[in-house]
Amino acid sequence: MNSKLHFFLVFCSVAILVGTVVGGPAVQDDDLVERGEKHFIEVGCFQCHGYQGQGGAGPRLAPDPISLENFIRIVRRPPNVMPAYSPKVLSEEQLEQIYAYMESISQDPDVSTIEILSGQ
Amino acid sequence: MKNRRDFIKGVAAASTVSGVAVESKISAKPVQTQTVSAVSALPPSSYVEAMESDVPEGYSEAQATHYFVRNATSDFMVDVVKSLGVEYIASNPGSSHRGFQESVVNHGGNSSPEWLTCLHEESSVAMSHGYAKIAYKPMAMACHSTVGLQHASMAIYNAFCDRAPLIVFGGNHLDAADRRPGAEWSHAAQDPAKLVRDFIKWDDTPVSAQHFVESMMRAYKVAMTPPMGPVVIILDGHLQEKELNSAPTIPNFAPTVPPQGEIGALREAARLLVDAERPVILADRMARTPAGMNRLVELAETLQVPIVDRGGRMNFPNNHYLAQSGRSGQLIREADVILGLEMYDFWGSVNSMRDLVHRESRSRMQSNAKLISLGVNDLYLKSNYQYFQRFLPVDLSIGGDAEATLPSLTEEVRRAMSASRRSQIADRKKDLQIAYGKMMDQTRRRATYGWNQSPISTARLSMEVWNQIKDHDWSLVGKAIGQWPRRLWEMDQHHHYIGSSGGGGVGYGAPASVGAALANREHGRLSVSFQADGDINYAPGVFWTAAHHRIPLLSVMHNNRAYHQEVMHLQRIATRRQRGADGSAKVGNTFEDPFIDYATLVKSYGIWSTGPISDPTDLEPALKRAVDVVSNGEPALVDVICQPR
Repeated sequence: MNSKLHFFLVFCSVAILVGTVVGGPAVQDDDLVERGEKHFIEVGCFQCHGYQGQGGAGPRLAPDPISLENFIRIVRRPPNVMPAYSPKVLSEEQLEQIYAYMESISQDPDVSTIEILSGQ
Repeated sequence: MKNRRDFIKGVAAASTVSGVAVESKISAKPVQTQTVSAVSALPPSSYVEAMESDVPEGYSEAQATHYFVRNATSDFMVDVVKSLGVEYIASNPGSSHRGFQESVVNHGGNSSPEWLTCLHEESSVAMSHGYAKIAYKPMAMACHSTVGLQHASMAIYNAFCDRAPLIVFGGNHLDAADRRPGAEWSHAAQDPAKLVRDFIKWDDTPVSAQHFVESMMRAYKVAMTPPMGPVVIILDGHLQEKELNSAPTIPNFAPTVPPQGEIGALREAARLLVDAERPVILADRMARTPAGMNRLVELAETLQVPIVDRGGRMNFPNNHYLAQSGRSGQLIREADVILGLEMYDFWGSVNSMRDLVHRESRSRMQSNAKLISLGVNDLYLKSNYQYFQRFLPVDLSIGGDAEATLPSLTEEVRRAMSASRRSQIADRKKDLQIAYGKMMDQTRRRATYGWNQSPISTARLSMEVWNQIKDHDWSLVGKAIGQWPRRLWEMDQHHHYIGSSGGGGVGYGAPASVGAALANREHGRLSVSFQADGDINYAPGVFWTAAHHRIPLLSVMHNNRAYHQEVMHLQRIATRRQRGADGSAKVGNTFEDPFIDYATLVKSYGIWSTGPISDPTDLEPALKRAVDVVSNGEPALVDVICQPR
């Protein structure tokens, strides 16, 4: 299967499963999200990106994650110091579950609402 | 015969020993700015005087000589240490330094130096390391011969890498014919200091009182001359305990003026900096004292050049618009001239090498960028341990202590500027202020990520602590968790941050924090430390030392229940080998089953504590209570379950 077709099928399946489209309002499948969170922790994503994808040693992933296509591309062939996760370690399905978990993460408060950050 | 009381008076009059330069004003003068500390030898009590000079009642002279020592050599040793202004000796007890220890307590009155009871030699050394960064002078530690020195060695390596001056006293028994069977043999060595000689600046084994005083003077000078570092004096047990029958003379003591860069080279550096369009200054182990910070501000403002503070010391106030460490990538990428000041790793700052299967390095700067280094790295180098990092070819390499040299460099920069160039350079200010504002806005925005989550984000923890301490005279004496304090706390005093371990040896954090807090105590400062859970487990007994000696320190646990850096390393290797999806990277790296209860751990050492806290809304009341405890002069610990980074 060529990679574009493969991605299209993956994209569609995720959209159906999650009941959303990338960038649109997310209606999450709890089980999908739960499995995504489990993988996120087991394969060590949280080590660099935080338990809620908020970033740490690595960049922030959520809320408002990048597109699923870019997400999978970066996980498979990271352009930086991040280790590459092959399909043997993380299947396409598991990546989609992780992505669903990222999409489920709620927005952070605005700086202006946090007194000790804004100084107000 | 000149007795040691006379000796002390002589030293008090003659010596100008103490810490390093602490100047509040920028000056182009050479840095010969030693402060004079009072010599603290106390007059002997009548009891001590009687013990030292009289034959006890009922004893013949021969019996007295058989049973008693009237004029112990180690008393003289203590007088010498007092004359150098050494205020503390941290130590585990050991028979090889019993003569010296007894003299500190009973002859010296256990004051300047005061004997601090420690539970591990690594704690004693790391306490001295942290102390030196706040006190700007060394304290000492004493360890029991070969076994103690081996325990101490890792912490000595950290101090060496971090250029921290400290004095290590190691006991030994040199004369094999006079060693008792058992421990005096197994704990003795022909050359004990050999164990650590690769990572100390100097050592000696004095065999007489005169030898001792000269060695101590030299040791102090060597330790305090940049690049500063640890020194070792081996105290022979027989020498400590025997009668002092000689009349030691007093060497003249003058601290060594730190070396400065050559004026012609500074002129050339000034020309390059003045002509540059996009210069940047990187500073690492530069500001040894508050004077270093002030001098760097003066140079930066004269050139309107952004500063990237690598954090080896508190080099530059982070609330100054030229403090632009958060833009380091862009600044280095665009720079046409880069000045490195006392860089720990200059190569690694302007190049990158990614941890991939095939390692390739890549320059992060323009190919025609000019590099200038100013520092003491090349003035003192050892071979075996590779602490000196990769060699970096530069265009101009100036050997000299950067803090001492900056006034001359700033003066040369001013001379090299025409009026029109001065005006052009001044025009950079507005853009740099805008860039600083954007950088800070972005940093605050990033701090909101995961703000209300549990485990608690490092940014949230950092700011909750800041909210409780900001109105105090505070000092961050532990790690800068996630670098948030260095980005968001207002740091504009030299004691606001003390840098890190130097050698990266885990176990530095807790004892170095206690040592720095000890130095802060006399200034009434609130010392605060973010305490890593991996670090605390090396030698947690230092919290008993803090409790016992009433050292006020607020320790806030960054408890992520693992050696998380190692988890990441194992995960990296596993994914490289296409396995490890089952969480196996946790094996050998995490503290689970059972979790460690740090509040209970330190409570057993006599420390006020609370936690573990995992809900961020519980932080404020807990930290308030802890700050109250510390403000009353006691140590406290708050255990917080945190995000990994």
